[in-house]
Amino acid sequence: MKFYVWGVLAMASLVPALFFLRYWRTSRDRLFAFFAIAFGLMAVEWLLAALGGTDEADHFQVLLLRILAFVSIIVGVLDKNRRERRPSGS
Amino acid sequence: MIAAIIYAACALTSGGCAWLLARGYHSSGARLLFWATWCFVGLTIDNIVLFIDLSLTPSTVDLFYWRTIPAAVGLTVMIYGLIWESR
Amino acid sequence: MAIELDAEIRRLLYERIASYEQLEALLLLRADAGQSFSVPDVAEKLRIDESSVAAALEELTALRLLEKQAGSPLSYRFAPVEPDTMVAVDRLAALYAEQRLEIIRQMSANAIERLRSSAARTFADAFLLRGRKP
Repeated sequence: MKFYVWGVLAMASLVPALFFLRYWRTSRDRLFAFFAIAFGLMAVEWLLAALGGTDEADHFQVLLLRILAFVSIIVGVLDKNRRERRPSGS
Repeated sequence: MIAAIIYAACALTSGGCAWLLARGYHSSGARLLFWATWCFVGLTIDNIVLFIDLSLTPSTVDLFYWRTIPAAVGLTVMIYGLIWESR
Repeated sequence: MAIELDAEIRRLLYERIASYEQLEALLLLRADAGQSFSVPDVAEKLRIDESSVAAALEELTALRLLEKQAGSPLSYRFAPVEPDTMVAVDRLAALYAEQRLEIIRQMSANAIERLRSSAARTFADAFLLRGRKP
């Protein structure tokens, strides 16, 4: 059952990553690239869990991917705020 | 100890995203943000329960489903929102 | 023989001119660049209702293409802040005379694209910590 769940999570993370890739291409806003990377890393995290039979609770390498995913989000948000400091319309 | 800090940081990050998206939904009313908020709520629950699982509960207790089901539900509604928002 | 609009014109249209009212108003004000126009003036010249004109002029002002002048009645003047913009609008005016259909086609395509990307943009805007005026 766990393998099924990991598989679901891997796909369910991959699909938003692909959407974010498209949003990045059409809007040229780098934030979407960071989100695509983040959700992509989460997908890889679940994939590795399935391959190894154990997830972030027991396996540090798997947890590392999740950490990197959230670091990517943090970096993306900080980058966006630095780019667009003034709260004005485009 | 370091590990606990890391899990807390992940939970705070995803929680922060959920909060920002909720705020954004409140001011704009865009449906995508509604679903995205719940996605990050699910991920936050995952991170919080991970923290609990690793730091607080004995190794006999496995909180696997308490972590993964909220994450799966959150990601699923995000997909739903992304599809329906992209006319 | 339709020539495709170049990148600068397409960008000007996508980023700053959202409706036909705005386009007509902008070109009208540009034709008499030193002159200030009030909402009723423009509405009369373009034969459009005043509320549409008022909205269009406000939006163009917010995008720094026009300058608003206080007074009663409120008036607007063609005064783009950047010199590049001035040049681009001049070219747009020339193109509008010769390739009106192409410009209209591009604006329709832009409207569709804007609808499609507004959800994404709202998502991205949510992550501005200090918020953005809608």
